[in-house]
Amino acid sequence: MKPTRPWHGLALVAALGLIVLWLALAPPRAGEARVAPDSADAGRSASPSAALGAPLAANEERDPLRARDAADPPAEPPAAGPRGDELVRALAELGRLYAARDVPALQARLEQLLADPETAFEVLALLSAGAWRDDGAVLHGVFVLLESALVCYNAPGPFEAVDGRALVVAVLRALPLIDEPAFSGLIERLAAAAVGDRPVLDLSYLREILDLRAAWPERAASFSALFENLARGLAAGEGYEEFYSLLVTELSDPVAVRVALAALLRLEDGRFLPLAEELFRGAESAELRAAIAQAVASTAPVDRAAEVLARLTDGLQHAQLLTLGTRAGGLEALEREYDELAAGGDQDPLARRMLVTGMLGGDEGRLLAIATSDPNASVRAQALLTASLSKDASPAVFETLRAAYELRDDPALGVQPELAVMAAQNVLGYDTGGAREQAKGFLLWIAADETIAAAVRWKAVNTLRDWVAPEAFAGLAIDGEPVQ
Amino acid sequence: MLTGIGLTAAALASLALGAGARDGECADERATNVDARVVDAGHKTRCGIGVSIFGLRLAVLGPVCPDYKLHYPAHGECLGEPAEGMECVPAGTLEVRFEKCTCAQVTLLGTGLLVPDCVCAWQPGNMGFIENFKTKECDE
Repeated sequence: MKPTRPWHGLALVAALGLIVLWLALAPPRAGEARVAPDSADAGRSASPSAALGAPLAANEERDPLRARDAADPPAEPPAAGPRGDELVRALAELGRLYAARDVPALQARLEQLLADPETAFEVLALLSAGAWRDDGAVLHGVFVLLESALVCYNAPGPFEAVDGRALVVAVLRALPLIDEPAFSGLIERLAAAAVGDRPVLDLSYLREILDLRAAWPERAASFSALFENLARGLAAGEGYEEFYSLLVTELSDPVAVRVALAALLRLEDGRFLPLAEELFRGAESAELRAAIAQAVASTAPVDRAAEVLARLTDGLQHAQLLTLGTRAGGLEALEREYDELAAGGDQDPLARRMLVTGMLGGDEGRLLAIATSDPNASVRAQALLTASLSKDASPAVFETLRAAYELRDDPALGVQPELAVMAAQNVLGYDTGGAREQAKGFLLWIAADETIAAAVRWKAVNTLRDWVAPEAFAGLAIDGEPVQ
Repeated sequence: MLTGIGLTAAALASLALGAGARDGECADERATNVDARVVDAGHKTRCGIGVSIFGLRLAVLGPVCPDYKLHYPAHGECLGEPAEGMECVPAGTLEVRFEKCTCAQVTLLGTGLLVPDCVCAWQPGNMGFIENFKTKECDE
């Protein structure tokens, strides 16, 4: 296991801090002004968003929980929407229509309710006051209405005169006042709301999100979910400054790091990969390392991602390599990187093993070739594990497993008993043919073998308990203890 | 003479440095406990339904759903945490188990309504394994 080297992170932060200073001192763009943090943050430490140097919109004196009047009001004001009990009934109806997947009726009712933009603000105010927290149907109606409103009022079309941004800000400011389950549901839908492929909660709200997290540190982890789609719909390199700054200012937040780094890694030339590697090596938590690896796996060019993940892995990146393997070209990139490493002998077995974890769904023949030819026993075992995680696995998978187990004392060809039991467990769970019965017999054989360590024999027994009758263990004892 | 002084100085230095040393190498390091965690993997999709209102297509209204959730058990890692007289040693392997997630209709308690939700189910078997480490006294 590679120990962390905090000084790497400190040196990197120092270097990147110069960039933050440059951005903070950059003059405001023409027509905009810097505005001090609003009264909601009074008494708290300086807003972290100040480090971004992003100017705040100039007209912040408005009541954030009410709709904005348009500069050119529509010729006919919309009909007032329902209020009070009628509103609750309408929301419950929306929830029922959503649950029933009655799309035409749902669409028609939504159009009626959204015709009055004040309705969305009314719903938000009531939600903030604790209404309906225990009413599932009404809550789903709330989610459907608010997400629809966020999209409609922020998209080109009949509501261009409505200040959609005001609704977004109103939702952000209401969030701290809302309890579960509405809280998490609303955060998820706010982050996911999109006009086409562009999120409603886009990069222009970065300052508001950072201020929200700073003002409510006890809920900061939940608010981090608001970063999730900031980069969606952006061209490679778009928002570069903002994401770079986010990365620098929020180095301890795994979600912020993942989102910012993923946005930067989209650049085809992979110029930020060295930065990702340095951040990984200097990260002081498993969560941060996982976030950095996930950013690499999800957006870096696949060949470079496979190379970097293989180099960085500390044996805990199964999820990230699986993610890479599901991308277009990702599986092939993992296989190429494996071949390249294997050509160099047994110098980095951990890297090869982790590359194999990402090959789920890959060619069975290829995986079995690794299971029989890789110079390292753990890599061979992982190939058997990956190959056996398939309902379409052929009899050759179990046959290879059994042969490797019988050669367990041969370091060039065998697999460790403990890992053979794990692979047999996969065969039990996934095979629907004869291999399942063979795996049962295989595990009973291991359980009865007194040359095998007791812990491994017990593992075989415990694996079998859900698959065989208790009579199968009759007469079996491990280290003198009868198996029951 | 200078050589003699140098050798003596070197000997004294090695004695000083070695004052706390024991026979053999002792890393003076303990295993660090790492909490269990769950990590999403694969693609993410949204469960729910798509609607079209005022001519706008709202992609999908519903929760987000990953392909898999991988479960890493609590374990020990050798991260250089100092502990005099101790060492961080292998302690076997632990399974990485996983759930497969799909969008499904789920009953809202108390309402009888079925709503789209992300439902994750434990899968048989293991995605892979991790190495576990523990702390041991150097003299054992």
